[in-house]
Amino acid sequence: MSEGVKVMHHQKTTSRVLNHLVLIFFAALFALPLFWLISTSLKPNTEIFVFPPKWIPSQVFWGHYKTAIQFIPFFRYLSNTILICASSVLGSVISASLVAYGFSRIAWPERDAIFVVVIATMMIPFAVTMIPMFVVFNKLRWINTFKPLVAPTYFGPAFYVFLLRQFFMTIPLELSDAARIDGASEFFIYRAIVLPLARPALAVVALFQFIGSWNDFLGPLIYLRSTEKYTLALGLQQFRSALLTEWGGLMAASTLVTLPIVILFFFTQRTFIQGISLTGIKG
Amino acid sequence: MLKRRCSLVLTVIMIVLLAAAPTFAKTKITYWHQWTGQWTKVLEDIAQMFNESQDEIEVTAVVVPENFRERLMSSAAVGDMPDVVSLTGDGNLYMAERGLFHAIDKLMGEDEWKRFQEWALPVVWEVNDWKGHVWALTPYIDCHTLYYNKHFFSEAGLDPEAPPLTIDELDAHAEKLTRYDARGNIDVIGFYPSAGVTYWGTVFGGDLVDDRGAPSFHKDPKMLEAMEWIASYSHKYDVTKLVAFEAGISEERAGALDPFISGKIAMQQQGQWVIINLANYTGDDFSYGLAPHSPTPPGGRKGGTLVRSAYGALAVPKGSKNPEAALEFIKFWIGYGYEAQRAKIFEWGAWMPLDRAQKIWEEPTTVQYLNMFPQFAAFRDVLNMQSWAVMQSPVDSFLFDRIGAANDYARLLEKDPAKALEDAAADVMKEFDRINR
Amino acid sequence: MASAAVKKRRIQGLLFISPWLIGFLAFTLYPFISSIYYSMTAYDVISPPEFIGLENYVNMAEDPLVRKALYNTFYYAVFAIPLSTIWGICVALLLNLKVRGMTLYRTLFYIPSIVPVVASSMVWLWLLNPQYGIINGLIYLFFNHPGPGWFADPKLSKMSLVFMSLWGIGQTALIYLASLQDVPESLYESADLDGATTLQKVIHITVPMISPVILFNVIMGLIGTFQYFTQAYIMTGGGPADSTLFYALYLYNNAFNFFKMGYASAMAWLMFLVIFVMTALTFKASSRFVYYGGETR
Repeated sequence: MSEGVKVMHHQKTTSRVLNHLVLIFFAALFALPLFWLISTSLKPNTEIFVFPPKWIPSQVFWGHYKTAIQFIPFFRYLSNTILICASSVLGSVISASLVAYGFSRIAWPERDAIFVVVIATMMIPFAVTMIPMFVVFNKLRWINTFKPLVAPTYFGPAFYVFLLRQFFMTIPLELSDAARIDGASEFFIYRAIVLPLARPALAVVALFQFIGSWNDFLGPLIYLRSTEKYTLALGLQQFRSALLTEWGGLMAASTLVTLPIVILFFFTQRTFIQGISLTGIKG
Repeated sequence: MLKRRCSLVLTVIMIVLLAAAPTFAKTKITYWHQWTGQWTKVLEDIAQMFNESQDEIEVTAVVVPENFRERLMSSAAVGDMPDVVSLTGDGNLYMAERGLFHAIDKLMGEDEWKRFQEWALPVVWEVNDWKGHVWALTPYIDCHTLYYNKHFFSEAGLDPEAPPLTIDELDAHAEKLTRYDARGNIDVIGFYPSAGVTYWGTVFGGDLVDDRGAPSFHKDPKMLEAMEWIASYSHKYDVTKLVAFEAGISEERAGALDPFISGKIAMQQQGQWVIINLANYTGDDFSYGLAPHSPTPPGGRKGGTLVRSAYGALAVPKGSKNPEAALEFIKFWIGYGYEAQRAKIFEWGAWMPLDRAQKIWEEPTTVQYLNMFPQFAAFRDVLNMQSWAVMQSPVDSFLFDRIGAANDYARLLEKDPAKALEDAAADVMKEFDRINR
Repeated sequence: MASAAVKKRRIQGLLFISPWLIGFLAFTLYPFISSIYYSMTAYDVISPPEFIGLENYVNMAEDPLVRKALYNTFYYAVFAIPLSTIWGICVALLLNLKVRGMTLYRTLFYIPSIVPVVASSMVWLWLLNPQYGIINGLIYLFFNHPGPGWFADPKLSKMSLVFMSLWGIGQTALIYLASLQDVPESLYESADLDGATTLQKVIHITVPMISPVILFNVIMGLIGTFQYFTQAYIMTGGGPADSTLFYALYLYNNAFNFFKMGYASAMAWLMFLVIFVMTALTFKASSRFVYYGGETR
């Protein structure tokens, strides 16, 4: 009997070690490019292009970080990017939750029919609306402002509306009914009952939107004209030109762009995954 | 006390007024260019030198590194144009045809235009001369010739004082200079035609388009000859190895990683600005030579100057608030009436003087500069020998896109050279017919 | 009788969805419909649009580059969508293991989705550099044979991009992961009693249970794949030899490089139709495979 327990225990340990080995192998594979990114950013120029490739710089060279923040106006682009990200996150969270509330917590006849349209809009490729939207924004004199990048998030982005609606559906309707009997307005129920319960789902929307805006390349490329309005994603592209690629500087700048988000994710991933799980995207 | 304060205030006001007065009188103009990185500063210096040269116009240089044309187009649609632009990328003639730019010759007036034509080398305007009017002027042109590594020449038993002057000699030298590493990869390549068929086709004596701007490269035996020559390198050196080699070096054409400096290429066809790069990043042990002209086949164009409006031609958009002031800045950039300053500009960016009489070459600044870098004399000869403009076409953005693809197809041995050119020409012809209907 | 209450709820509902409604009219419906108009014009942004009927559509049918771009896009989709589905589930299963330090593992797996495309593109160009890249270095180390040209080889450039997309699986895997956590433990326990192997459990329990999420991800993947643009724009510019000229990239070139906004609009419409049909087909095919049993939560 005790022998059997021992064997089982042994098996468990073996499989645990095996699990870790597999995870470490793949995690290393996934982290390799980030590792290479950081390592290259710390190499002197002479070691960047060598064969066999140097995994670890022979000496740590910080010069590229100086290049990174001087070659492009790094902090200006950073503040532009943060501004766009923050306003977009705010817009998405507020508008998507309001709209999702209207599609889930109030029963009205045409609701579900209109919701089908919401889902259908997700199918329209950006390219279809890109050109006319450019024309519209041009007429509004919004070209070369952050408005074309931010404003749409204030009108209930379909993907997030969908996500939040699925979540709101899971909150028992009795809660709302009780509040209604007490004479609470719909907006009060939205703000005081539904939103607090939906916090993890709102975190998901916030994070998806944040990362989306942080990495958006096409939007800024089309709508931003003057260099002082650029975002980091566009700024990185400036390290490449027909004449010269500043590899070291590019890698250093990329590291600076990436690390804050990695850290952010590390500390928020639990909420994040819980949030997705609760929203029940399964539809 | 009060009196003192009053007089202090008055003095301050006076100073402010005095300081502000000339600024108020100045005409302010904006200049767009695409020089990123360390070059942004040089362009700012040029603008500042212009501002100091007179006290009526103040130019501000703005770097627009990405998607220059899109930006220009949407600015045109919004009606917020800069006063003067260094055009970047293709598609400029298309915009010019739709009246986006002032005609420079009209802006100058008949007399001055005549004087200007006598002063400047024809390439300055020829490349932007369309249907009787000139819509832009080119402030810098690139002269090319062959750079070769003398050390490699000696090691391969070649005479380091006798660079190849014909294509046959170039090919033979290239073979002798190419080395492989232990893995069988190309370690050092003697030479390979990286510039593509647009460039080499022109050197071979061919033309891309006819007078109307319609594609003619597929009917031009010289273009085909060049394309076949480019493909011959893929046959000779094994296309996989050549591509691998190229992918490892192609990004770097300046700075310490230039493959010519790092000893990856023994001979390369390059422009005059490389002289400065070589001086900055090589020591005394690096010895190179310059061929008196680019290697050419019989009937080719020996000089090495190739000009395309895409490379920074200066234009005055119709939306400019001060076309006169913009024109003055263009004259300054080219050096017309500003020879001493243009000599400085040559020194700052290796941008070759463009006056026919070669007065700028005699400026003290230039003479001093040439003492430091005597190699420029070779390029002066190249410039004097011959220069030509790649012909213009209203569909040039599509044309260069397609001819680039054709070059890929032939180079990678995906298509027969003649077929690659024909396919590209058929696509471009369709587009040409469409917009000329 | 009930109409007063219904009316009130309708008004309230409409009020709540009004941000979306306005946005839909301004940023979706209007551009969507006006792009029909633009698709029937010759329009270069500089000069006003000129009506030309269906000419753009006719030209599109004859344009060899449209065909090439469609081929490239389908080629990419055929590999990227199934591979990323399988790979996404595998990664999610890995990240669902109960081991210590999972927070760190999940972060590492998610990193590629965070790294800006511009940066990750550069890293990949570098990793897959035929002569100096690590991958070919390893190939030589283990097989004593020079590796392929990857992005520089027209036969492999698309597959190189597929590889890259698999590496950026984090976001998809995370959604799978969340759904895995909803699969009732009891199902696995009863399977254990029947002596099922891990693989059997995955195929017979996990996959059916998360099939709605698979459908969701496949459709999102479909939509994303047909709009695939950024990586190709940054890394290959459509080359070498048009091998990565994807549909969205050619569309972009037409709109912004060749002065053909009208033509680009027509192309966009074709793209919408293709996505619409593909999505509808996927939905139709999925009804047989997708299990909607566990949706009441």
